[in-house]
Amino acid sequence: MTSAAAKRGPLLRLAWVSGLLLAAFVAVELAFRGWLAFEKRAWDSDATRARIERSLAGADEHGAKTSRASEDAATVLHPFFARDTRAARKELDRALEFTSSAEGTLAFDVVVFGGAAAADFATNRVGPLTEALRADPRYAARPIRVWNQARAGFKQPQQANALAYLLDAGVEPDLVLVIDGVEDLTIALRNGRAGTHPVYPSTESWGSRLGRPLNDPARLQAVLAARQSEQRMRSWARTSLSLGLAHSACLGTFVVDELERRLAEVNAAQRHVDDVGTRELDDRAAVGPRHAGDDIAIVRTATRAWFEGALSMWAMCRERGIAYVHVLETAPHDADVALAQGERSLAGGLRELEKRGVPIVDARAALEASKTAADEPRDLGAAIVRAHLAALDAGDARR
Amino acid sequence: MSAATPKPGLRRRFARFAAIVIGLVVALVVVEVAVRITLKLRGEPFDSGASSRRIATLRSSLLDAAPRVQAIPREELNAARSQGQILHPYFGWDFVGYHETLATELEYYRGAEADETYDVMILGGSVAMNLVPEGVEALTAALRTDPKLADRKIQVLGHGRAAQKAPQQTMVLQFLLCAGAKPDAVIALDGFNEVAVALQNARQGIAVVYPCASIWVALAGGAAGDPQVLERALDVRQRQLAVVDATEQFARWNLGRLASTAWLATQRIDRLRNAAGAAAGDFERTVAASRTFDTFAGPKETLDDAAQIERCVGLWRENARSLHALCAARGIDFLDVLQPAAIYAGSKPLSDEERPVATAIDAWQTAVDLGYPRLREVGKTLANDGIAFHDATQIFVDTTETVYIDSCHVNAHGYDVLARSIGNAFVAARARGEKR
Repeated sequence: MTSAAAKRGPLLRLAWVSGLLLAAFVAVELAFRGWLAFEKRAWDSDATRARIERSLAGADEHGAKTSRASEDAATVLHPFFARDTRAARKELDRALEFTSSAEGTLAFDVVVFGGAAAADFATNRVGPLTEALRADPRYAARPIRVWNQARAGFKQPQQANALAYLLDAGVEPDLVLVIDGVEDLTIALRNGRAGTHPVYPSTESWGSRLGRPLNDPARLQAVLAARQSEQRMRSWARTSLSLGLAHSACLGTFVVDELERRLAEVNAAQRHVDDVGTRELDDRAAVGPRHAGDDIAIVRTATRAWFEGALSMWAMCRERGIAYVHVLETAPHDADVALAQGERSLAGGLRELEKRGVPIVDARAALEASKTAADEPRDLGAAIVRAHLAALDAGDARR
Repeated sequence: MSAATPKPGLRRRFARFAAIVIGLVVALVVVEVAVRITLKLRGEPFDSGASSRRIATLRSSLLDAAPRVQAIPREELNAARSQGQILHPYFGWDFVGYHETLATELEYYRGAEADETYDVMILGGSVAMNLVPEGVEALTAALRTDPKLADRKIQVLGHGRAAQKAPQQTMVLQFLLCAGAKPDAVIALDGFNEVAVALQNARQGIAVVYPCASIWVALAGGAAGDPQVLERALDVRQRQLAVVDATEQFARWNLGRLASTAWLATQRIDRLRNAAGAAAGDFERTVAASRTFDTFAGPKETLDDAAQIERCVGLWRENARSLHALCAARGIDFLDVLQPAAIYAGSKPLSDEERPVATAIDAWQTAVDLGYPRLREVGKTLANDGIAFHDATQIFVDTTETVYIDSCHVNAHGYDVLARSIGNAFVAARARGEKR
């Protein structure tokens, strides 16, 4: 054998082995595709590539997550009333801008606080109130603006804190109108029965939104693990795409199976992040201080919180010469004994507020005369204006 | 030559080894003496205890960085003065210790003992937090000079929370009243955080009305959804852990015993700490630039320092008015106290011991320079409006001895003087019946 032939020998062998391997792979690929077709799952490389790209895009979009709840961008944590909406923030910005404008100085600004009923009143049923105000000569020539600072699910002290925050922000309302009572009771009862302090916000609006990721080593570790598992998944998806592995049924199937496994790891790691976040310290942050769980104690606490919140709102307004009216809303008929007891307590609290000089409206009494539901906004609006004008005449407000 | 005689080569090697060891020891002694002489010439003679204390302080200072990295032991976490914090729905965050004892405090208010006792609630930041227990004895003694309180049981309840600022005091009181607290008196001791922490917030892109940025950001954590923020946070954590490790090594090997090892270790720890500080700065800048920042940064405000300070002073005033209103509506006695500060120029002749520690970051110093004169002016208008107000910024103006331990915190003697001054002002306000 010549030296040239001796050199060619190994190369030839390598070429043979490579050729055989390639042929074997093609044979396996064809057989696998045939089997898939027989199983009515014909291989679709485009769909596979799209599937990998979707996983990658999802990871790029969200990045590392510190909580599943943190994806909810519409409602955000607020330091003083637990949560806020972007819409309410914009309303506050508009109110601030308006207050400092020339038009704002002339206008009579009514700011409405409370829960769902108050928000509905401020946005949909406020017409009769402004009409009743205009009927009084003192307001006939003034533009009347109604601002909504009520949020569904709010209960005391959220309304009181929202008012304090508004005053601190520099808004100077002429009349603060509070419509509440029902959510103060129903949420407190739901909270208390579930082990959360009745004065705390509803579990849905507070407990489920706690993030607390960066100051707890265990949480940070869990977030780091979740991020690393996501990076592994992302790296696998990118490599598969760049090598075009989706073109092959064999390799593509393997890639997708592995991708699924890594995605499951990411989800498990993310669940762990939430688990770590909801145990230990976060439990306390979510449920608040210890509280007796029986309905009587819950109703007593809820009524006191409502009363104290109302008293504080009136006091803060009185300090600044801002007119104030507190409306105790009507509750829908409910068979819950504790709720009925709570309504009686709130009615008692309303009378106590009246004794202390707080202008009040008992919506139930105000609406007794309403013949139809359509008349209710008019009757309620008129009752609010009556209470406001009576306080004004008594010299309880400067404006 | 007998078999027992060591070989000349081996003996030479042994002698060389012994010479090296002796040389090293001598060198170490020379270095130690040289370091001690250098330190003495610099006017900082070596003090083993001081060096260890400094390292311990460095270690504990990490607790004030964001994000926090220390896993606080459960038993310490539950202590009333624990640094452990949790989110609170109505005032941003609370200390775990307060949270744990609140149920007991509310239970107390339901009992007959509370009706008989004159309960004084203290609100404010860290100086107010430390007033209980540091100043309780002096405060109680001063309150007893009021004939109506002379024989009554007096209890001082601490609700100051380090780093808190207006309007958190209003929110704390509001929550406590709703939950069942029935204090007879409320004293707000504040002013410093209202300008210093608030301006620091503004410079970090967080609304001045929002709670202290580094704590709120760490707890609310919305920005951690951003991978870049998360990576910065992890970087800060790793660097802070490196400092903690180095300080623990210092304690474990007792490196503070020798001037040379203490100096070397301190240099290393300082380097690591500076790196951690720089990483924390990067973290805050990354947070400010993150896409989810606005979800927890509060309303956007682009004002210069002077305008921001005016806004902060306005916030402080509104907070005082709200606290006064909440108390007046319930017949609760109220006093708002503007706290003293070492970095408020002209308020105290600083001692040699105070001068090096009475310093602050630029945001704080600027805030106090611009803000304190305005707070004092606005305080006078509050008093004219019938709100009980006490300007305590000048209580140390003639005190030459050491009182301050940093930019605004005082030692036991300082608390004694401060508490007595507050108590006297409170009694005077009660006598005037300052209610509109």
